[in-house]
Amino acid sequence: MISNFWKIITELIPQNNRIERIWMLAKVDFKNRYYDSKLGIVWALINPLFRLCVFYYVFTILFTRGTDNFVLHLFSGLVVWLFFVETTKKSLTLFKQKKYLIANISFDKLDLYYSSLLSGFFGFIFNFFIYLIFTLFFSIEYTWNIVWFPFIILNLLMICLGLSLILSTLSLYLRDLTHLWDLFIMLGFWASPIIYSEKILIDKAEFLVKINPIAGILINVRRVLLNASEPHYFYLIYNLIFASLILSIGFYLYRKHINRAVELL
Amino acid sequence: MDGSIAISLKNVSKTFVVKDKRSNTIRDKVFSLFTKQNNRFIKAVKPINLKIKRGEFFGIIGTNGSGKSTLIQLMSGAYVPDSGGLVNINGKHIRLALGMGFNKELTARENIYLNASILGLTLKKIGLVFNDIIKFAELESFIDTKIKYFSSGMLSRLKFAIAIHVDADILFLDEVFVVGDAGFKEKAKKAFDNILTKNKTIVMVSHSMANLRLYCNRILLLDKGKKVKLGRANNIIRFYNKHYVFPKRKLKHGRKK
Repeated sequence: MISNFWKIITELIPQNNRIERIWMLAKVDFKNRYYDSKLGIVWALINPLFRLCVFYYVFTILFTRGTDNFVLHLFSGLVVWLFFVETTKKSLTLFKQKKYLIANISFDKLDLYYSSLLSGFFGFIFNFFIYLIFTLFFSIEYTWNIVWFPFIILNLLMICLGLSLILSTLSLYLRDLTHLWDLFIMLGFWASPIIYSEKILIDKAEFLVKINPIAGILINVRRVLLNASEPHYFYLIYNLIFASLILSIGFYLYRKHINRAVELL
Repeated sequence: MDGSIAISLKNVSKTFVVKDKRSNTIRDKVFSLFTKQNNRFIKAVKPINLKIKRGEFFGIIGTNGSGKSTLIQLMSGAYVPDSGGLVNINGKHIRLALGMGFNKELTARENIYLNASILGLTLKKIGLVFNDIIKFAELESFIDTKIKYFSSGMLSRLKFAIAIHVDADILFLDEVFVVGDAGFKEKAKKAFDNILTKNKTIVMVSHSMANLRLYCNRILLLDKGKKVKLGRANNIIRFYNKHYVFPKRKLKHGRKK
């Protein structure tokens, strides 16, 4: 029985190279982005660090509004937010950049999305690692609530994948979607508790958390990582449903239009 | 579907819509609600029925603009046929066309791994054929060179070497001539024969009569998107020469007189 089961598993793995392929595509993608630069992956870090310095200066020294652990609050928010921005923005040019593969070889194009997400996630993990080192200089208390963290990140990935599917499909028909999405990103930045605290958001404009899933994710990331408290369960479930909805719309659009991708490019 | 058929086309046609005013931006989409659009329809491929068997070397021939490449794109699924058409393709395929299929920023090694992996080969398997590919393409000293520094001949050889080594079931050669010296051509011929005995299929579009005559079993002759004739290679080439190539020459000759 066990040997049979093992046989089935070993037969499955070498025949299906999908995971290998996604991994390789992600690696190539990652290498391409930071290729030939001396600093390499450090570029992935410079963006959040630079913003961190600017916002910190503005809000603690110019406005003197800094709360406790303002740096960590800002850092964690920026890491999550910039991952979201990067993956969704990249999806707008996904087909154009991978045309040399789509037009010539038969394969499941979904792998392109997974690999694109994965290569963005490499950067996220790197940044998050730096964040963890950063926290060593502060007295942060961790509790068991941290087990929620992977679920929240999974939720974030679902939203990113769903939006990537939607945006890349729309970009086949609307070339200037990039400009519109830039506006949305600007809007989203101020509609999410990146600089200000969740309390301000929930007290004064709770509807923003309802329509902007990233806000809820940021709230919960801060709660379990920084404040050692339980996640906001309502937003946790609400966001999961929200993400599933986005993901299903994304898959629907993708399936309907992927066949025409080469033609429309 | 019959197992011995690699590609079958049923009533497949393709019409391109050419808009006088391109409207693929949001701004244009909004404005185009108020203006009249003049669309022209170009019938690139007219309804066609076709069956290509496994193990066949199939050629497509025709003058410029006769829809050869469009037909190959339809077969490979890059284009979607007009409604009512049905394309059935049996197996994994790779298309070789000029200047496509490679990422210029990657090395030869990385491109080989990427292409082969996407076609479904495991890393282990790629490792086994890797040396063969490099040897076949005669690029032993350029394995880790970025391919943007390659000459067009090197690129074609590499592309060709990958395509015949990666176990694709169907190979589309879109105006890719078998490039290289006599020795390389000899090797290519052997490789083709080897592929065909493995019950795989090759579809080739070419203007080179010599290549078509050398390799193909059957040839399809297209004219303005319409199927004119389909048959054995020699017959079709003779027909093509008689009706499409030589009439022009005769005219020239006549003028001189």
